[in-house]
Amino acid sequence: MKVDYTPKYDYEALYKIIKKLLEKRKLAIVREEFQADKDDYYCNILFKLFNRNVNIHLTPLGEEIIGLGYSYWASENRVKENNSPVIEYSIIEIPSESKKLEKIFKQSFHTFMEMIKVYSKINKEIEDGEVKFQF
Amino acid sequence: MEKLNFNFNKRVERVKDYLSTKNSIFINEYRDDKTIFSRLMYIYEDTLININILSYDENSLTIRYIYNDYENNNNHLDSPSLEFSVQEIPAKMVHFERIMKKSFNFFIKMLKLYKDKYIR
Repeated sequence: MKVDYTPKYDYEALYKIIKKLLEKRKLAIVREEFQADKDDYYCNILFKLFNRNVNIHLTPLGEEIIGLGYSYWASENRVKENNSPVIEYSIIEIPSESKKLEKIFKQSFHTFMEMIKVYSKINKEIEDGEVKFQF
Repeated sequence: MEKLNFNFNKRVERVKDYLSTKNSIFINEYRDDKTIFSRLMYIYEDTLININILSYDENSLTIRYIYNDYENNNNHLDSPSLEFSVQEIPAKMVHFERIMKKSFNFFIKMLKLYKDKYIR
């Protein structure tokens, strides 16, 4: 994400914290994208949650604040893309202290997990390892 | 303005018609005809929600439901946002209507879960 400010915090260190927290939960990381240039910051980790591909993003929103977001794209989990649902949950304006980020991660991860559970219950897209279109 | 093979306004009106049958109060609409975008703001059971409707391509639409905690509590710090969208919905009215209703009901389920368990 292009920005016109320079974060005063260590963006890479925060990304590593998130990665460590995912690993601690023994969640398989599928793909990582990280970029921290002068005016371009981007962090996305694709991981497995309940046998689904989900993303976590860390976005610099200011010199001292960040955003943490989760997303589930049905299109990343099946071939058919028509009627493709997306679930997103994000927390904006998080102060950049690592302890604060860890606390917010723990709460928000749990919330997102519950959302995916509800979605899974209603839309049985994956049955017996086979992707089925339901929505 | 992109040339569409369907009537965008009719789809927006259909969303409004459906919401009028729900326990919701229409607040306002922001419309951008240039980008083919409509944002509907509603109070649904004491909660402010936004519904964005936009064209995906000339034959399909995207509908997005949004709950922003800061719009409801006026607190921007650590503020959660919950979004559910369905992309590339074929514009055929019967299809659009089915997906629109189903997605709205799923969003409300998600919102209720969130409010019951996590609201500050």
